Amino acid sequence: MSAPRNTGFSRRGFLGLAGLAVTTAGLAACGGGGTSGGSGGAAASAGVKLPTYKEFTGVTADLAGNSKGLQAAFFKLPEGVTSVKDAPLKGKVTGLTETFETMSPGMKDNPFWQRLNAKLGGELELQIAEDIGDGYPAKFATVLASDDLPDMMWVPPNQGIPNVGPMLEAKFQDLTKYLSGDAVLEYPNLAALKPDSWKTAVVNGKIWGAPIPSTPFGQIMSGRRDVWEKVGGLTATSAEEFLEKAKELTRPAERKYALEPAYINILHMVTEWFGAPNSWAVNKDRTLTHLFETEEYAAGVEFTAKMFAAGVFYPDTNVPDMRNRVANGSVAGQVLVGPHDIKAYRAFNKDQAFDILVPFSADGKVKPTYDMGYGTVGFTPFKKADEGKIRELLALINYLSAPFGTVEYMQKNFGEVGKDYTLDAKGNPQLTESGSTNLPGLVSALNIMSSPENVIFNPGFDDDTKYINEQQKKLLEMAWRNPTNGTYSDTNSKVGAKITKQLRDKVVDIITGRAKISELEAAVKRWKSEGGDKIRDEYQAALPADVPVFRA
Amino acid sequence: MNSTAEAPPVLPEADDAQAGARGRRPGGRTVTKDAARPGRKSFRSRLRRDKQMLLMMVPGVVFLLLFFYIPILGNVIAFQDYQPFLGIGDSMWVGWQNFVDLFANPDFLRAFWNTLYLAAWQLVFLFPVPLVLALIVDSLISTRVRRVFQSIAYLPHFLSWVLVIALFQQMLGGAGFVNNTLRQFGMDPVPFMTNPDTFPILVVVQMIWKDAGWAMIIFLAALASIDASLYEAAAADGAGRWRRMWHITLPGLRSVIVLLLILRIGDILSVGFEQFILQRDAVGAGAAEVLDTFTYYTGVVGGGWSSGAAAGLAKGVVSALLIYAANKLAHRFGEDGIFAKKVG
Repeated sequence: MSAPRNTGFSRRGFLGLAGLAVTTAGLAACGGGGTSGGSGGAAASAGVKLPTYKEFTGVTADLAGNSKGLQAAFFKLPEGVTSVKDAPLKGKVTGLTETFETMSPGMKDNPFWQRLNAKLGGELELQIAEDIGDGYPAKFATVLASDDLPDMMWVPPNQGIPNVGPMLEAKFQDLTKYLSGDAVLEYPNLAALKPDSWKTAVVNGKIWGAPIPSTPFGQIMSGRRDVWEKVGGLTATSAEEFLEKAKELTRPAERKYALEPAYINILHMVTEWFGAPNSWAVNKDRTLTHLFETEEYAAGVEFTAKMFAAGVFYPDTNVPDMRNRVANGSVAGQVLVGPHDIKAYRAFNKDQAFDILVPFSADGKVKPTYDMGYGTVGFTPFKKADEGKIRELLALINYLSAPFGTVEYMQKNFGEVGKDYTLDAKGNPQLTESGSTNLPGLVSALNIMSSPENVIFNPGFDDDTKYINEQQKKLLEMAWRNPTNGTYSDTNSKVGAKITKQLRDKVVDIITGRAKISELEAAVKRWKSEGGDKIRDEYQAALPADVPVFRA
Repeated sequence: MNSTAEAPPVLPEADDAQAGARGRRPGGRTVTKDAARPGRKSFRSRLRRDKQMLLMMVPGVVFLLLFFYIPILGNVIAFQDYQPFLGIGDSMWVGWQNFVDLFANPDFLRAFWNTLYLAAWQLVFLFPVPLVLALIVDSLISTRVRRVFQSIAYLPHFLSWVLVIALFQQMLGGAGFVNNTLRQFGMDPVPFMTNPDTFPILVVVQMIWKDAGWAMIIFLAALASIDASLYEAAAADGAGRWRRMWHITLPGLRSVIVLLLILRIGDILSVGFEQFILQRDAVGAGAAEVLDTFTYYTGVVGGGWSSGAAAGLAKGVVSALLIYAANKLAHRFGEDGIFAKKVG
């Protein structure tokens, strides 16, 4: 049984790295670690000419996307078109990446990998870190310290790899001349990546690699439709009404609880109801105010604490199978990384539909907000090398970034028909038995280091696809992007993760009743003095002119 | 009888705790017991005599050198602003700054205090349990019952902390067996797993369940080495069960108890890592942040390799002082301890 995926890795797992059980306050996942350029790098970055965008028009989506972020959706697999003429590789190339699935067999024992190599015309050898223990940053740091670098290394923006700017300058190749402006047209699949995605691969005014797009959407709350219908649906007209519904759904005697115990994630949802900004609010005078400093955030913390006191959270904190619990109805609400992610429930429960909560006003007056995500999972820079090698690597990434609907996309995500996957009656791919052993681990590792713009594709569940599309439209109406996306703060990359963790520890204490709400102020003060204020100054200096004032 | 080398069995959970504090181990681990002190011979003749022994030690010494002593040099990053991509050679020197920052950081002080507090709990309530268990097992007459008991008692040692805590949560958690049963009888659930005030009790109970049986083995070995004829003689003289324990068993175990106690004290600041990181969210950092989790969050998660190393180094220094003090104390009591007193 293998549900085909079009992304190949769980981004929930990806964000899960930010903390053990409690993940992120939305975008702060990305703000927390943050890549960084040198001081003044931001100004230079504003000047770089981004690669020319040339949309991929080889296939037509069933539900079109748009430039605001709406993701294109497909009901069935399009007839594959070819996007790459020549095999990209001439010899062996190496890379460092991470998998979020069980590791696949190694290259020697993995026919899917060997077939991919044959198509690439060389040998793609990958060191694949697993998403356990210290995970990728530790692996990255040791490889870096060893000074024996592979040709390509995935650089994630939100796992707290520090001082990315100086690191890139010291060890990696500046790709600006190969990719800036029309130069990118030589690599059509890279030209099909959106400018918003490219922004995250620009540091110190230079382009360091192709970005790896993910969903542009941010966290959403979701739950099983029939469970919520009993209390009038997964929506409310006020925070209080939501709490009433949650109380009704909480019946400990029947072992049923309303909310998963990921307090920071739930808090993120609640602050949206209170109209809080997405990490930073741009004021009229173009200064910045951080989420933590806002009244909306404090109100959200207080209300979440009230929900905790009402006992609507699942009572234990270490719960590994939350998705399954939501799918079987024993926990009603969970926070997911984005609207597309509800499809994962279908692996546990084919018969039920799942809802996506659109933020509502906490008190009927304030305008709710919805926080969009970072949009990419970073970029993959190349070790310094001669032009021939760099061109070879760019051709490889061009192949691996082939859009949905191309022959190359199928080769990378599903392998060869008849061997790694078969097509069902509706023409949708189903992994074969050997395919489901050989693919997921490697596909996940490939997709975290290279990806086309994402699309919505839930083979066999057309209603889900339509529903996700509908909800995405509603979310976009109240959506805000983090105004600092694509700019860098040195201080954030050095201490951001640490001071955010300190503050969140206190916030969790408040929510769970171990500390008083009055202690929040001191915690925010500490956050400011230990780096928050400096981060603000750096972001403020780099603030792009085109980001809108928050609720002008 | 020559020197016996023993692997320290005390609470091996501490091993994983060294995430950020690379391999600072207190003292050597070779234990000189009942050391017959031979008359002085020349170095060469001793070398010839002990050739095989020395050869057998080589792999262990190499292992210790490679994985414990050489990494100690890495501690220099505690005095640097270490960046992995610059390496130790090119990172900036900052002197004592990391330590100054550390001791000004309330989170570090809290972690330090939590560590000491939990260590005290462990020492008082955890340390005696394996001894008591060993005495019970030793008093069992049927070897069969004894074996079964022994196996049941030490098997949990082989479960990972993730499993142990999952089991405890299944039993004692808010949605666990006990609380669900309480609810069925209309009673309020008890927050065994989420109350920060009772967290030390929970920690000690978990440790006893997991490791006491394992730590018992060493005491059992020591018990087996007590000459049975002593008991027979005492019994013939009319000594009862308790008298025999007091006058034969406990004195016979004394050197082992003191030894383990010293090792435990040297290791006392390594109260555990996984056990705490896994339960940190349930009871909050206020109760569950210990030096090792602090080091992890500062060093690995926060990217502050240098301050993480500084915290680890501070811990190592305190541990070394403790082990030295405990050893002195052992000499006071007329025991050899770890470093035997110089025979003057």
